Amino acid sequence: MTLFRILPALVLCAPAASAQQTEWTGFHGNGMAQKYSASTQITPENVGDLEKAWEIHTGDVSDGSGDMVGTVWSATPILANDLLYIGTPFYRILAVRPDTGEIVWTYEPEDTALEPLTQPELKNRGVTYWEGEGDGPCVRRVYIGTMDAELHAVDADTGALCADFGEAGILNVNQWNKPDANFPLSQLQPPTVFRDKLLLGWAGKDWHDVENPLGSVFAVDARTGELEWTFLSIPEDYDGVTGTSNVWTAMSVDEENGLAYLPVSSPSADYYGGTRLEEIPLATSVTAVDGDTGEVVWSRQLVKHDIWDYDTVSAPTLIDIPNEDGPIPALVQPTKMGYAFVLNRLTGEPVFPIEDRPVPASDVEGEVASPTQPVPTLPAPSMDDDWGGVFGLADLASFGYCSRTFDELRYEGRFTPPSLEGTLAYPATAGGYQWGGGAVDPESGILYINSSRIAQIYQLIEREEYETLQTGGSEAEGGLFPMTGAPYGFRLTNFLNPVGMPCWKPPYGLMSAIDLKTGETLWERPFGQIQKWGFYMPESWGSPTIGGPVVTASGVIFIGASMDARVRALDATTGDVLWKAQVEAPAVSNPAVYDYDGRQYVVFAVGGNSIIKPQVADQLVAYALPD
Amino acid sequence: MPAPLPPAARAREELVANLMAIPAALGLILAVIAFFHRGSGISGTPGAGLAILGMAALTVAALLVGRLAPGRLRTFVTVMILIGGLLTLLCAWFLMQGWIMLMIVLTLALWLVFILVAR
Repeated sequence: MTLFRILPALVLCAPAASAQQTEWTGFHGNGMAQKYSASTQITPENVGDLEKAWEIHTGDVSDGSGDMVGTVWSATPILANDLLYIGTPFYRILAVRPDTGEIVWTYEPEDTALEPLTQPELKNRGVTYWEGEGDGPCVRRVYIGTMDAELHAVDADTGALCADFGEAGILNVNQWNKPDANFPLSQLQPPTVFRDKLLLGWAGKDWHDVENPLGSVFAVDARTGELEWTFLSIPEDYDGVTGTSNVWTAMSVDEENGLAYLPVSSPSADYYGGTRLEEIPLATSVTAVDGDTGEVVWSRQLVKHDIWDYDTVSAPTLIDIPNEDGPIPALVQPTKMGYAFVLNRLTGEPVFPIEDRPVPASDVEGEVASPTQPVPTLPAPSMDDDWGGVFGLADLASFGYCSRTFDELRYEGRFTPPSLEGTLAYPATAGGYQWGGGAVDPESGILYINSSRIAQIYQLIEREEYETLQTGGSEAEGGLFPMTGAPYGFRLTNFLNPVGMPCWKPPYGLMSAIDLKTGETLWERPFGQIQKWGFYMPESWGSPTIGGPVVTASGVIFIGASMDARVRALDATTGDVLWKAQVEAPAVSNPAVYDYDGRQYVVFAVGGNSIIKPQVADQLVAYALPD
Repeated sequence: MPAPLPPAARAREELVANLMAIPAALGLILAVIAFFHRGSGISGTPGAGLAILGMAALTVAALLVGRLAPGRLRTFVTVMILIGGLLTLLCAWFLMQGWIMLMIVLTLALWLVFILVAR
């Protein structure tokens, strides 16, 4: 690190130390995953005046047309230590001035492979900030993970590697992987901070094989990287039988009560459970562990014997729900099924009753689907129980393709198991809710959350036939999942007609407000716009979304997330769009809101995601009211 | 065979047609910018390409129609400007390109003037 690079940071600290600011220190704003800002400068009345305060382009972007695969950038900027930190899909960290976007320092990793080892594209969801006590180098740190299972720790003031962490500042998380593992424990989601520990989940190539690393979360010392405890979601005697049930998304923490909450995903194979018929109680669950020891305090399984890839998808949002008899310590766990489970976060007991409802049986040889599934009675799900039938316009435009295809599919409502003829899955693995999660106003107890309504076709394919389909294509990218080790391969497709129109009825994306005191949905509005070939479809159709909202104390919701590459401000009372701006790609990330030097900013990382639209960018853009 | 137009009338027609080409050309420039500008919301899309094509055709047709003598060909080009303008307007509406829509409306307004002054 040269003096030239250190100096701007030192200079910056002087005036900024006295700045009055509201920080945004984590992926979801705070450890409770509330995505709530106490800032009140921007209000529903003046939000229409927002203007671009600054923007930068990181340069770390690929559309996949060259030698490098495409990028997916879903990072949340972190405002701490008077700097704004952001990670990139090339695993660089930028520290920028919160008020001007001027880059203060950059961390560039050496010898990190920019290869799609476990995911089809290069992904990054940002960085983690941690602050210790005392003075000196690396008292404040920023961490970034890589797809090849490294965690880098750098000094938050200078960007220099912290030599006391791991080996010379880099922790090899893969040292805790099984020796013959078929993929590295990719660190795409930044760690969650619990006191002086970092909680590390991982992502993998879970769609490829039956046998995978067993799901785990590691707690490491934030200073040294030393392993403190390990949580396993699958009994060790299942090693070699199944795997994953990992935590690939963010976690949340209740430091006051000493608990960490783990959203545990589904076991492998994703869509066939005949090789793992014994119960795996922690799979597809939300599980509370003692943050100091990793011991399970309680766990609630949200899908029994998951054969739909209904991974528990986001960090649960923690809130003390206002109540006449005193606040209820609760968590809200959104799911891909469009259910929001509201639980007492100390005991795991439901705040609103959960029913065990009968669901269809599997007709596939070797598979035994669970006869019942848990269903929360409140709040209402974001998707109806019935898919609603074929969309007439799409059917007409395809001369009856949608109807003909539907007639050949198996569909018996929610939780219809995958089948050989093809199953209409609604909701499907695309959600429902997704990893962005919801935002909650702790004062009012209202949850604001976006959701998608997507119908997909699940088809199991006999192994022999599946092998003939292997043309060297892109497997999961092309909708084909080998599920090696199972008697079936799998094909996943969106239920579209040949010109790309959804065969199910709109809306395709919604924004909702849910009163957690009563479970009542206060309002629900189509959100965003679908685009095809550049043409915008009607607003009433909404858009599938990736990335979540934030809400401010003044009653403004900020969100990107939609396919139309716009960022928006909504009225928290009505859901009305109060302001919007065009950005360079879909902003598939959670925005950050902060005050700095008396001015409130909202910042979006605009990176795109090929799942939603083939458009990528490297734009970091901040908006504020005019000076 | 219609009688030749007096030079003054002909000049008037040509002037209106040339004026019609101005908003069409501006719309073409806007469509090209939208196609290449990453923040337009439609950059690199087939829809933006279609808008370029539509605006280019309108510009050429507007320049051409004023130079044609009255007859079937001019009638054909005149009608095509209306049809092409309306279709491109629809295209721009679905692309949510307000400025291009405005340019098309101006072009069509001048097309109406052209109809009134032309014999």
